[in-house]
Amino acid sequence: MNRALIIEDDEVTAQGIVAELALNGFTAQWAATGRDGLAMAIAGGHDVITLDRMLPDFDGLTIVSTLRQLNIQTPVLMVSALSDVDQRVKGLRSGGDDYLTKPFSMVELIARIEVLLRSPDHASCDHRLSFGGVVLDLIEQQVTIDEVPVLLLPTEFKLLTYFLRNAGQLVTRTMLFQEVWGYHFDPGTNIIEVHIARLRKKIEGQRSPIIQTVRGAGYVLVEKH
Amino acid sequence: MFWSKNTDRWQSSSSRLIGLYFLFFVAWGGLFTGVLYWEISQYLGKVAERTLMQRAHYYEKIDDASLVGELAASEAYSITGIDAYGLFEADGKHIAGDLLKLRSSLPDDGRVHYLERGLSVALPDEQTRSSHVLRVDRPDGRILILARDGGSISAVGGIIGQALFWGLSLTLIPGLIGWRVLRRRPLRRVEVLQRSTERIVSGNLAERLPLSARRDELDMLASAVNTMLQHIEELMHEVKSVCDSIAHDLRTPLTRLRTRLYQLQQMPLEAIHITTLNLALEESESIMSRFQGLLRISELEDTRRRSAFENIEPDALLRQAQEFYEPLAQEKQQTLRLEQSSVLPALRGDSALLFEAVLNLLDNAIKFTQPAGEIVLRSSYDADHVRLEVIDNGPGIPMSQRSSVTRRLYRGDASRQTPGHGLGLSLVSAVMRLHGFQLQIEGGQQGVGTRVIIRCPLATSAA
Repeated sequence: MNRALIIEDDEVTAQGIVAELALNGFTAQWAATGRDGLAMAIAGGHDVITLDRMLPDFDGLTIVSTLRQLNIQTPVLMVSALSDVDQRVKGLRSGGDDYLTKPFSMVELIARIEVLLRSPDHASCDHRLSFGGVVLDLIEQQVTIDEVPVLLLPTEFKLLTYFLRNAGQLVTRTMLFQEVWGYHFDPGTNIIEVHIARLRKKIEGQRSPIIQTVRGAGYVLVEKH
Repeated sequence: MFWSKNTDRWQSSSSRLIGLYFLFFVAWGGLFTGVLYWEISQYLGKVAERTLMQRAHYYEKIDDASLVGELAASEAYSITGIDAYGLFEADGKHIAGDLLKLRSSLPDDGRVHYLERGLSVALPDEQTRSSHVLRVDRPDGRILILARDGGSISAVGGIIGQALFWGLSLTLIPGLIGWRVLRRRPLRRVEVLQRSTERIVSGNLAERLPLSARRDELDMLASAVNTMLQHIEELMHEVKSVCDSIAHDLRTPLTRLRTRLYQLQQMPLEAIHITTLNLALEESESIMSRFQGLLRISELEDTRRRSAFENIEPDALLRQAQEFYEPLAQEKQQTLRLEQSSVLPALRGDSALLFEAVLNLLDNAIKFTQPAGEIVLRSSYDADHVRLEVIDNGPGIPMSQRSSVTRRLYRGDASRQTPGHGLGLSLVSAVMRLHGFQLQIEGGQQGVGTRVIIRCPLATSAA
């Protein structure tokens, strides 16, 4: 069972996150102040931390940098109000962590936590990704389905890479948009759906996995039964 | 931004005042010297007249026989070249004196006449000169002409003319230098005020017009504007804090409602309940996203976000937007073309926000344009601006609605049947305000479709 630490001064938001995490099989601990949160994080024993950027006593960024200085590498999901999203918060992404802007949906929060929990070594070091009958070579930039080469456009290639790296995992529209196009906001409308539909058309095969739409949440790459 | 940056320096009020003063000075100088000249020439004329009259009275008492001798004797004392006489027969034949010719037009009316072109004198190299002349007809029929040189009057005129010339030039040269210096000072202050006003208009309401230590009329005006700005800022702050507290108060119950609904979804439910629950969840999502959109726009009013501005290549941004939206256009059998003239200069801004704004415009264009329609994403630039345009050949926005479409939650007649919250264009407008860019909505070519133009000034935006 994964353990999460929630550092959040707003009680209602914190309770919502704790309840949602519990539903998704996490045990969650809540710290209402930055001081308590930092102490609990240093004490260790957490797989993931969600951290409010604006705490009454500390700036969330100070907590992250303190943790990193102490060589505590627990992944951190920064929760921040829109106006507080500055370059420094965006910069966190380079450290493998992520950020979410308020108000957010619980689905988005859980999906991002799940992605953070996946071993980054596994995801980044392997240059051949495979799932079901799909093999994607990151160096050769080639995709085969049931050993038959498939020609993908750059965007489709990036989409498939992200799906293969997070196979079986729920990915939201915002996450896809962030990974493939590099922007952190919900593009709205059905535009992502149209891109997914194009990809689906190209990778449909006998044994190939399918991209399943999870209503109101996002997509998940699953094996065909 | 809203007035010409390079105010024509000749049109400045100080230039005009100094120009007017210059004209007044020249006119006054001219009038003054004119009056002076007239008075002096009148006086000199009178002196000459009196002298001639005296001479005439004297000769009247001399009988005709001894006249020639008396003339020669008394005129010997007069100054050569100034006073002259001529005695002629009735038929005009010269008898005696320096004056050689009789001017027959000269009347014998006992009055002194002024001749512009004077009489011939028997002196060598002597030109005819202006002179005062008196004709006296003698009882024996002979004609005596007495003359006095009028040159002193023209000399006085010359002296006054020269005085006027030197007076004007010695006053005008330092005057012009002073003008140049003086007109630049108030202009420079107006330019400083103009720059601060532009910053205020582009969203920095905390800025105030600078005041100088002089406390002059410009300072009085600036101080009045500052008081007004203070008042506006307080009102804006009040409105914003009311909005923010509403948003804050609503955010918590909304999040809680949604959390409860999700928790309910995880429980074992009957099919009919699941359908209702899903509908409730969808509604709450819709409220949440509308709410998020509103919050987002209000966050964009916060100019602190400008601190995160970076250099952006607009070409790459447009290309990416076109690639992103092309599949959707294709699905509607529309063409989405990118027209780039040349490599655009870099802009200063938030790339994510600008991308979101362009996506919103493309989304609208695709949504409202009929199948098989055409959407063009065009870019160009000149010395001052980069222009980004989204042009479609859809139904267009009626003139009466063009200014309203950027209002929050406004939905035009055409958009009521399509999904959306009516926040897209207000978001675009907020992004443009944050960047100091101008958003312009026009009709397309030949009145077909819509043309949305984003004008990005280079002076303030380029790195």
